[in-house]
Amino acid sequence: MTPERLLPTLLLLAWLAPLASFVVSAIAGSLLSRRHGGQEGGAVDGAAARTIGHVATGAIGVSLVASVLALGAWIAAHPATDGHAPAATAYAGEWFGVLDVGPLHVGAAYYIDALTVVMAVVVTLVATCVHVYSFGYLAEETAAEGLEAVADDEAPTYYGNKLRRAGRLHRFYQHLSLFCFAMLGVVLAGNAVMTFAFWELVGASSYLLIGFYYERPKAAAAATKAMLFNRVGDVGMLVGLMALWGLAGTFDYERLFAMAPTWMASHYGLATLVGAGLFCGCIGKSAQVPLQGWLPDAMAGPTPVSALVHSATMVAAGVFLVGRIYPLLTVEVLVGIASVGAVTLLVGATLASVSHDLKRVLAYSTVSQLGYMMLSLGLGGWTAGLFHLVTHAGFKALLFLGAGSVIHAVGTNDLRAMGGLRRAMPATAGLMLVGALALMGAGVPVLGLGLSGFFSKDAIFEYAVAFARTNPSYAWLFWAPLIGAVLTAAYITRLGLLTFVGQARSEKAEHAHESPESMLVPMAVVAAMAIGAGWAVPGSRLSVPSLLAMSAPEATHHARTGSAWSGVTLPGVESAHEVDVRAAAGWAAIGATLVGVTSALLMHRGGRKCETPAGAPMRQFDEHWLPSVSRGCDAVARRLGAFVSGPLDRGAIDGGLAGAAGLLKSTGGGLRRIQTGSLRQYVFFLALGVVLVSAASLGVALRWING
Amino acid sequence: MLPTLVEQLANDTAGLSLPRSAPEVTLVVTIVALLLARVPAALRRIDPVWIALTGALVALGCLLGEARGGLAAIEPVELFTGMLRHDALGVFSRGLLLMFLVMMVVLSKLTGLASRDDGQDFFVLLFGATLGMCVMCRANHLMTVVLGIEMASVPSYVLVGIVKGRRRSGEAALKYSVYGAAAAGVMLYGVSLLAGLLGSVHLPTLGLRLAELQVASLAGDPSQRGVIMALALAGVLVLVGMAFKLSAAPFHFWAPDVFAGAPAEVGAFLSVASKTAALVLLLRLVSLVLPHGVSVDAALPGEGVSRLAAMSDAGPAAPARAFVVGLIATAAAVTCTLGNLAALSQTNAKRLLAYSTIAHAGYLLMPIAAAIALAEHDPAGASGAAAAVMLYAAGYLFLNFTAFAAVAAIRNTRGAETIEDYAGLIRTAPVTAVAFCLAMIGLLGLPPLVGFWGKLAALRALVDAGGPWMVMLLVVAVLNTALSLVYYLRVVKTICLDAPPEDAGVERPERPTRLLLAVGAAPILLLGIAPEWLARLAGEACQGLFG
Repeated sequence: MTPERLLPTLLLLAWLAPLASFVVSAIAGSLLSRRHGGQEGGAVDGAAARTIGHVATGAIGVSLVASVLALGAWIAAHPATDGHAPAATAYAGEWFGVLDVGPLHVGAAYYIDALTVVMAVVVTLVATCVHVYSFGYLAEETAAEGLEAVADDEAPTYYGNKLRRAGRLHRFYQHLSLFCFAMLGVVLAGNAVMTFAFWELVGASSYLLIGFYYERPKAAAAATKAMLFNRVGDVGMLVGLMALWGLAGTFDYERLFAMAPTWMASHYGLATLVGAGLFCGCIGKSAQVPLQGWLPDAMAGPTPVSALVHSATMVAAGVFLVGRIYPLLTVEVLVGIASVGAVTLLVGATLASVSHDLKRVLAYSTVSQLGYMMLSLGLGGWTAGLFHLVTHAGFKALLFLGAGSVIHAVGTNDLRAMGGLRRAMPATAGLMLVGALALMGAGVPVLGLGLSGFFSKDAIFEYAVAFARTNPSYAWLFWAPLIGAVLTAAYITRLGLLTFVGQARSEKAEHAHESPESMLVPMAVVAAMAIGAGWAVPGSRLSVPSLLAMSAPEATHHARTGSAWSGVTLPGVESAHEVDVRAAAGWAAIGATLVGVTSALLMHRGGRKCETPAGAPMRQFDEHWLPSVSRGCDAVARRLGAFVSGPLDRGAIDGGLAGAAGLLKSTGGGLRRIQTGSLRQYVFFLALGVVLVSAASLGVALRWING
Repeated sequence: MLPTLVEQLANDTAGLSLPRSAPEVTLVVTIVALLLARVPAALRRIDPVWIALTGALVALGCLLGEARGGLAAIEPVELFTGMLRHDALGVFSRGLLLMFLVMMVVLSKLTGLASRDDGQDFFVLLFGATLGMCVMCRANHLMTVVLGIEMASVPSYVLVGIVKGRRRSGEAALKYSVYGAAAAGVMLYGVSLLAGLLGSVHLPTLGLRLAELQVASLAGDPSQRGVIMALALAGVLVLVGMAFKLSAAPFHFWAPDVFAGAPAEVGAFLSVASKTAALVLLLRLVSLVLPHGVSVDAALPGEGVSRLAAMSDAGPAAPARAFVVGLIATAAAVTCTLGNLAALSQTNAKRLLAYSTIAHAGYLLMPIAAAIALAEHDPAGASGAAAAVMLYAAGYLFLNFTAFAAVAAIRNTRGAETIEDYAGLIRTAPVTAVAFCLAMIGLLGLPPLVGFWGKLAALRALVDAGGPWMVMLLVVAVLNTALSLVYYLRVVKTICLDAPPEDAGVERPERPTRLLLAVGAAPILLLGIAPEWLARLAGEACQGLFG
């Protein structure tokens, strides 16, 4: 088969396999639980739940194989180049149509380029690891009701004792399958409507997964919070979609990209609105400032979910979408994106440095890293930003899975209750070290050797340096990531020190055990990704960045200047790849990292001190002041709501409607009274009708005759 | 003389017309068979439903045979020396009617309306009325117009009173027949005026004559003004007859009483079949009698483009066309509003559906007005508007069938026909309840149910046509849809949210009835999700209707 037929077929298989698993597990789950109790959420026995888990894992395995084959097919069709060749043509088309209304045609369409296949592999790879890992992590969820029921001490009950409930592993895998289907839908989508639909579907499955422990008030609240924060962003996205429709009259990516240069010339303002609106959706999904608040709270979900949904894939969907719609974005929007990313990476890295909650540190680290990606995309570093997305997916999934392993062993998230775990959990400690090194971007600049994060972070710095050189007045967009890199190295060093180094600070930490193999093997797989994702295939130029560069939008190849802000020039690929720029970027990145590691070692005295300088006020800011901003918005919204529902709705609108309804009702009653049931009257009405209609018509005819 | 007659019989009737009227012939044969089956004692044991079902299915099969090569391939021809017209629209609409007939036969058997002993009466009347409707759908001649309407109406009068011994039923039948007779009289008067003024009874010839008359130039001649007035009167009177069949205001008075008095099954037949036939007949009248530029142009060859360009400004029948658009648009707006307003305060399910039927007659008239308005400049657009009518009607067939069938099923199990009595039905009879709710929401016109697409196509036709009349209709249609939300959803709310009465046990209808309800309701959803197929059929059926 030719690639243009083979790739869609493979990716369709990859896309639909999780859907099939979702349908099967939903049906089987409800049938089984009905047999076991009858009411909603009834128990499914452990073996059946595991079988459902195996089906889901098998399905995502099929997706992984299909995605890898698709990647192979892509590579076979596109020999590696040095990254400066013109963009490879994407395979765009449609699997089947769904809706035809007037000029609007919506279908299950695909847009397959290097970004698509790389993303598909990343998503399915991490998802497969998480599926396998969850068997170990959620082993207790196979328990039946009764004596060995799952005890949840974070969920309140009426009597104050522990909540005991049946396990729901089958639910977990069902939601996970739904998520994988939705996420692959976002990745493959060939039109903006499909993107939006699956965008919302990943949101919905994320809601279900965050709220997996729905008896816990924290989890339920976090799920709601995530939903609401994302809705705020999606309002902007809808506006963007409407503007897009108004501008182009199509949602089809291929046609949009072809048209984009034309409308950039003719409707610059509207094009900017399109980009800004769509980026609002990305702010929500990728937890950028000011909508970053939901992601740390989303850690209330099970840790494998945090690894897959809230670090590696779903939250990266915002970055992915910016990359996908890159040709539609004007320079002003891009600089806005870069600024948001810069602020976000600083805020995230700062807050990650102070939290005592292991998962919260990683969550803020995710926020910060997403900020880096946005910054890079905004500065014109399309390949660099998306490359960082890929490497981040590997090392952050590894860190989260490692954190899950630690939490599984220690039974708490609190860093202050850990310490010294390297002795009890050597494998976890080693793997976490790999993740931490990749995150801080460890490597040797002169030799060009390093972990995956080293390469992607370097690539981002190249753009930051090049941008700061061309636009000296925007130099803060270089300093922000530099400071961020110091903080990154510092907080991840702190995390490692507090967890694995020093002495155990609690009972449980002393008696911790290494996690089962089903958890360690997936960690090893993502660890391999964290190490090698930045390397080129030996003996060829083929690497993730060179692959991505094949599909880099035309606009990234040369410098661009804004129309409204003519002072801004985005550097092209060439200027970012100049030798002195690369050298400066490399030294800056590695220097910042070294400074960060050293300062963390000094500050925490090799793991003996938990507190960061100024930690308490910063935590206060994180846990009290930031939420109170949301609460303030909430209060304003409630006031407004009270006004709308009170005086405005109940008074004016309801009153008006009640009046209108009364009027209509009395009219209806009047019409009913005409319907007397008397035949004589009916015939009279008939005659009257004929006479009146004829008279009126003849009157009209007469007026027409007379002029 | 005689040889010509014989030759004509052989060529026209036997060679051309009868083969294209196989479904009608089958209906006639079935009627005769139903009646004869009563005579010999041996045959008396056969349940007449089998004869009826066979007849209906064979008729439907014959019709599918007519549509063998696809609707688009059917060439319009005149049958029986110009009495009938065989074309795609006729095939499509009769297909709807005959499919509906099959569903009606099954429904009336399952609900017990057609019993073993006197099912013949019911079926003979049902088939007779359907035969008349088939004639209406193919009418090409003023005589077949009147004949078809009467053939459809007279058996309907009896059908309304088919349940003997019920006072309300008998009263409804009487009202219907007297009202129908009066309306038919009015229409006949209009028909005779039309025939007299234009000197023909053949519809396409009427169109040509009307075009030749050059109504616009007549207005300048004082001595000819009377002709215009008489023409206008003729148009009004003919439309009154159509309005009666469609239950359009202000000639709808019969409908609520008749629907409330008649059994629900008959209500389904009247609201769907009768209305579909009347719509097709109206489409035929307006597409044939009101000439559109192209056909006249074809009659005067050789003058070419300049004449066509001149014609596109104002066709010879432009004033007549504008007049009919105004009449139909007014009727549509009034009918729709009146039906919805009156439905608001109904408590009886059949009466509610009666007013809903009236309201839908209004919606259905709207795209017809748009088609007439479009025919002047955009024949393809006009055909599209006609296709919207047929799409709407096809969806409406399933919606109203399901609604009335559910009413009949509930009548048989709960013995009640007021909406209050439907409380909590979702818990005691889920299939019936779901089918009924689907029908209600579909009638309301929400996506993804079939009613939505019909309404959307109708509104689109209005947008395409443009102009003050159409904007008025658009506003009226949208406001009315919002208005109808109240009473349709009230029924859904009663069924789904209210608590069932204390004494309600399991009251599911028999399995076959449930199956029929499911079969009737499934297309509501399926055609709603994938409407392209039906829309394409409707489009092909109306292709070239306006030249």
